[in-house]
Amino acid sequence: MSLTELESWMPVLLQGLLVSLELTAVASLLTFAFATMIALLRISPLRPIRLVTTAFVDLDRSVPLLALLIFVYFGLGKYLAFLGLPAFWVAVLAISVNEAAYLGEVYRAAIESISQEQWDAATSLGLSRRQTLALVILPQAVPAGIPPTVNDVIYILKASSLASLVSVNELTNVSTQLVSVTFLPMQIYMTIGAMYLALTVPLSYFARWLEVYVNRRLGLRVPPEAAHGAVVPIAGATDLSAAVSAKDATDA
Amino acid sequence: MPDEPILEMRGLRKTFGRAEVVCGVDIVVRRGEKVCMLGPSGSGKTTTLRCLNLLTEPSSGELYFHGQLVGRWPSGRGSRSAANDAQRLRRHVSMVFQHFGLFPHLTALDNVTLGPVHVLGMNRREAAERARALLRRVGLEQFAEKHPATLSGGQRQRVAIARAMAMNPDVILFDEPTSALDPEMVGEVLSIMEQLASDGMTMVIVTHETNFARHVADRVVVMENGVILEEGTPVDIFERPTQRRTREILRARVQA
Amino acid sequence: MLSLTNANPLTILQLLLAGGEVTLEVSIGSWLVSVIAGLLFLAFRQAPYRPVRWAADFVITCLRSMPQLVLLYLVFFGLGGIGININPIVSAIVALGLTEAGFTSEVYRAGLLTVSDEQREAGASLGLGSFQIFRLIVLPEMVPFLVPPLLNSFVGLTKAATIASAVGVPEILYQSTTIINETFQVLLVSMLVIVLYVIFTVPLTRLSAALELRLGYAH
Repeated sequence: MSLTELESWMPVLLQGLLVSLELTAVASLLTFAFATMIALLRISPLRPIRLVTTAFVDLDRSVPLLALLIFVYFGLGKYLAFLGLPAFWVAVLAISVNEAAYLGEVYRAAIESISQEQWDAATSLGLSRRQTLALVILPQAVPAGIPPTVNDVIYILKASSLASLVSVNELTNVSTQLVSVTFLPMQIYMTIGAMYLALTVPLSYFARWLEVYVNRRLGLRVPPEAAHGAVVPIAGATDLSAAVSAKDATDA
Repeated sequence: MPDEPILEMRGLRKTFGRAEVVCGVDIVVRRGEKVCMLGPSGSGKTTTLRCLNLLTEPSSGELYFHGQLVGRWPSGRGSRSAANDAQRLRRHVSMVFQHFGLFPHLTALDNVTLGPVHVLGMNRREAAERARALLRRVGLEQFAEKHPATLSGGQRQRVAIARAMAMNPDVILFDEPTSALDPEMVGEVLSIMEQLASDGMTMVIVTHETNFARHVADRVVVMENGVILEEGTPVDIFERPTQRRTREILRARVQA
Repeated sequence: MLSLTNANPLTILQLLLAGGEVTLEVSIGSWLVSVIAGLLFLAFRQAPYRPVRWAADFVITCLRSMPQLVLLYLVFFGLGGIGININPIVSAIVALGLTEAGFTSEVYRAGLLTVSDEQREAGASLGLGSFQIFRLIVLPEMVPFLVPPLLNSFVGLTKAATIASAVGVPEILYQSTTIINETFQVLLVSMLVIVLYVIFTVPLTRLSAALELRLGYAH
């Protein structure tokens, strides 16, 4: 691969990269919104809502992303196209719905890691459930949710390459098209591999740093009495790591 | 009217799964009264206390606040109006917890103002002024901007008491407020509570501090196995208990 | 390929199950690759030379940060392009196995951390040698901690195996797209695939969670 060759591919590849980034950005935002909804529904005081949400999460987590992507594309693609929504939006929808199940569980674990005594204390002040969540529980749960959210952006960027299989002209797809013209698969896939890594590796080091930072901050805030007095936060913590490792399993 | 009942619980029973933790307790708390609840752990005193502000929902019983029925159990469970009634009751019935229950993401001052601002609808400035005054009363004015993690256990519990007082409650429930404290910090918390008692606050206190009960309580309730074993003035209970078991329990406590 | 002109649900199910078998081949194969390669990665990460550790760490991070599809294309088309032809199933096994190995080596490392130094010291004070300590104390104590994440990892790979369809491996998703193209039964086929995945993965995920919970209590 000569430099001039690389130079000639670059405009096309960068164009594809831009689509990948757009896809990642929109899908990340939607995932975040869905995940928050799922987490809140999963801790609803109403049993039927909890059950339905749990069933949905189980179902969603069982379906491979690529399968969901292809089924939505085959099943709804033409209707969405009729509505003026191209394959890009099929990919956004499938990725964020699929990913929200994982992130939602992580958020739920973060919420449930806040001890029952915090709920009791807020409730005994006369705060409503919604106020308790908004003023007391969520502000404490959010820091623990930030590093997994960054990790999720990485995951979504990687997952966005699957959109190439439903005709979205993102980075992987444009490179496949380049390969079919140049017959230089090694060189071209190496190039885009490097492009993906240039984005995901720094982000994943950032997420790791963030996790250490947040843990240190949280460690400062947890009163030692609460740490050994109540079982709840510890159970919650295992839960969180379980959710994360379950997520990592498919992430890797 | 000093004898006016503020809180009254009749026929309280509470079961968790199969275990009956409280089996038929009647309790009346009158204005200005200090009621101390003693008993071995697992006797149902904390559950009884938590039922008084409905943090724990009774399995059966009736709860009256100022003579008005708040709820009767078993009832239509989880109904919205019941939840609202409970929420309204808690504006007037504050609670202090064993592990303080301070909100770690808020400063001491914000812990104290949270309820007045968001539940009583007080404006922030007024709430902050009152909170400062309350923190001064518990001797912590200079810690107003500190987060709970930087305070000692005794200081945290004093902030928690200030937070309870900030709601201007009719009664404050204390759930073993000194049990989680290092011994050298127990005194500072008890002295704040004594001060509160002498100001005329109505208090229900679950405690193991028999000395405190002896000279602060108007009435001592001794519980075991989910029932009230004996109830009376501190003199009655400590000097001439009618039940042998009461004496054993109290002796065990004094030695402990 | 069977004729699908008068396809009934049973025929479709049979074809999908045939794809499921290939899915299992790919996922079991890549799981084995990840379990073994993960061990190698771990060894490099524990190496006494710092540059080796850094390099291992970097390689693992890269593998985990690369889209699986791109890695698969590199193995299958890329190596093919320079004359190294690997069949699609093996390519998928290698690509998925290597990405998963990064995760697996993390699992091993966390497993080592679950065994406290006190346990090792207790072993040493009994006069055990370092390999004996590893074999008799560390290994038996950490194995239970490896089971749930490795099970999750396998479940994840059964789902990731769908990516192999991109290089023509006739696994379940590949089969289903073929069937859809011939019968246009999108709803039926996708429901069947989803149901099969639910039946297969939910019990395993539950089992892993239950095992993990028991570990939590044991501690």
